Amino acid sequence: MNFSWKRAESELDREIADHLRQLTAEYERQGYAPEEAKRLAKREFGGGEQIKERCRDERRFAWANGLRQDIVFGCRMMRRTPVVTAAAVLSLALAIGASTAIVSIMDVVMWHDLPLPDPQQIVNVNWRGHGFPEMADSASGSADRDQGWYVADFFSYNGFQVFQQRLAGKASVAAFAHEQDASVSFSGEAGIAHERLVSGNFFSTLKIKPEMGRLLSNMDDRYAAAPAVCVSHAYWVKALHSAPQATGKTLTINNREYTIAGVLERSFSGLFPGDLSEIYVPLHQGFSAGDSIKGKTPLDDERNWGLQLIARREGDFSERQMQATMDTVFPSSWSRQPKDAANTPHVLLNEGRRGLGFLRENFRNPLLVLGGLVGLLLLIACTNIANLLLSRGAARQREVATRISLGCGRARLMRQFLTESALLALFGGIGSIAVAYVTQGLFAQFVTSHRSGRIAVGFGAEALAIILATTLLALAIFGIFPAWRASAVPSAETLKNWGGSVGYRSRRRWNSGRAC
Amino acid sequence: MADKKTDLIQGTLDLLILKTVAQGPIHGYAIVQKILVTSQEVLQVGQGSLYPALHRLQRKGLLKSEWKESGNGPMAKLYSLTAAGQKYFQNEMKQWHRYANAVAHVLES
Repeated sequence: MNFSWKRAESELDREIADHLRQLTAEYERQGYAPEEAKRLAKREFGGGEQIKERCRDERRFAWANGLRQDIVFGCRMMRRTPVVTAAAVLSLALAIGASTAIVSIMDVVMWHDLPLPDPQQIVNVNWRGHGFPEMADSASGSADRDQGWYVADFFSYNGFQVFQQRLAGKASVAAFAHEQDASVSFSGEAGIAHERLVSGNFFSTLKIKPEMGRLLSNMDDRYAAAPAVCVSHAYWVKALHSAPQATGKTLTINNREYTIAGVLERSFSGLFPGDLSEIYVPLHQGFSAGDSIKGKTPLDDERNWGLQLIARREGDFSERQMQATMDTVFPSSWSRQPKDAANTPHVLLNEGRRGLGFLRENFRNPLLVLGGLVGLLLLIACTNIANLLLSRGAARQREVATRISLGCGRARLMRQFLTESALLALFGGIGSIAVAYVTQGLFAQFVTSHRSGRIAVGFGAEALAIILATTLLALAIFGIFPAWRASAVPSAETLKNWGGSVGYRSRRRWNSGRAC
Repeated sequence: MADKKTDLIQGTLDLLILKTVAQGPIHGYAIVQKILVTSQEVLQVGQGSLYPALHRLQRKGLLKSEWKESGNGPMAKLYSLTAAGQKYFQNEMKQWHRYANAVAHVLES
C-alpha cells in the first residue's frame, strides 16, 4: 500500500504540474510575459495543496492510509512524552479495570439469574410476623428485621407438606436445609464436603438436569429408601477425579454408605452465588443419620422449623395468588394457634429468579457505594487526561496552523487528535484487562458471609465486553472535547504573535517543552 | 468574461465531466477548456472541484486513466470512460433530460 500511495502521490503532483503548465502556456499565448503568465496561472488554479488533499480523500483506501499515518504520528507523539503517556495509560487501566471488576461482581451478586430454565417462575418462600413464632421450639434458618416485621425463611417439614399438597398442580414446592460440613470418603480417600439436605422433588422443581446418572426423586426421600446422593459437577471433578463410572459407586457420608445416583449439570452451582454445596442428600437420609431426639427426627417434629423452601410457579399462577393460597393453609401446619391473632405469621413470597437473596441484601449497598466510588475514579482519570490533552493541544497550535495552511481540513485534524486519544484508550483498555482480573478477585473476597464461600465470578467474554464499553465511554469523555478544541483554527492574533517562519525544529522544541 | 460564468448546479459536474470524457481520452486541463468552450463560456469548472471529482469518478470505476503522449508535448494523464461509466452516463443523461424538461414545464406554465 505504501508503494501505491507514493505512486499515486507522484502522479497527482505531475498531473497538477501539467495542468499549471498548460494554463501558463494559455496566458503566454494571450500575450503575457512568461513570469506574469506563471503567476496568473497559479492564481487561477488556486490552492494546489488543498486540491491535492481533497483528491487524496477521494482515493480508495484513503481512510486506511490516513489512519495508518494518524497512528504512526500518534505513537510518535506518545513516545515524545513517555512519562506523561505512561501515567495516563496507567490511570486509565486502573480506573477501567476497577470499574469492570465492580460491574462484574454486581452482575453476579445482584442481577444474574440462576442458570435454570424459566428462572422467572422461581419463588423464594418466607414468612413475616412479630418475633420468633410461639408454635416452634427450635429453628434453623435466617431471620431479619424489615420495617418492623420479623421476616424469616424457616418452616417445619409439616408446613412444607401442607403447602405441597395445597399447591399441587399450580406450583411445586421444594425444601432444603442449610448447607453443612460432612466427613466423606470415596474409595479410601477421606475428606470434608459441604452437604445440603434436600427434599426428593428439589431437582425436579428447579428443573436441573443430570450430567450423568439420575437425579434424586421422592422415592429416595424416605427413611426406608436405599441411601442415595447426587454430587455437583465441581465436586465430581475435584473429589471424584471426574471418574466416568462414578455413578453407582459408594460415597461414605458421616459414616453412612450412600450410592452415588448422579452428577448434576455443570452450570448448576447452587442456590446463590457462592453456594458451597457439593453433595445433595435426601432429607430423610440426612436427618435419620443423627439428630433424632426421643426417637423423633426434626422431620417428624412440627415444632422444629428447620427447613427452607423454594418454589416454582406453573402456568399463569401468579405470585400473589400463590401467596394468598399458601397463607390460608399455613396455620393448619402448626401444633397450636397463636394466643394473640396479631402474632400470626404470614407467608411472604419474593422473586427467586436470582436465587436466595441474603447476599444481595447484605451487599447491595456496599456494592453500590463501591461502584459509585470506582465510577468517580474513572471520571477523575478521564478529566485528568482530558486536561492533559487540552494543554497538549494548546501547545500544538502551531502545528495545527501549519497543517491547516497546507490544506488539511478540520475533520482530518480532529481525526488525528482523536486517534491519539484512541491510542491512549487502547493501551489503557489492554492494561485494564489485567487490572480487572486481579481486582475482581479482591472484590469477590469481600462479598462473603458465614453461609457462602467465595463467589464465582467468571472472567470471559462478558468482562471483555464491559471493558470495551467502559473504554469507549472513557474515550468519549476525555477524547472528543480536547480534539475539537485542538483542531480549531488558531486566531489570526495567535498566528501573528508567533512571528517569523515556522520551522519544524523550533516547533518541536517548543512543543516538547510545553507538553512536559 | 468573469461575470458571465455561472455556478454549476450541484450534481451536474459529474455529468459534464462524463459527457466530455465520453468523446475520447482527454486530460484535466482540456476538460475545463472544452466545457468552457462548448457552454459558450458560461460554465467554468474550477480546478478545485475538477480534480477531486475526477478522482472520485475513478474510484467509483466510472473513469479510467493512463499516461500518454498528448497532442502538445510531454506525457499527460488522459481520462476515458469505462464500460460501467458509459452505462452510468447514459442513465444520468436520461435522468437529466427528464429533470430539465420538468423544470422547463413548470417555469413555462
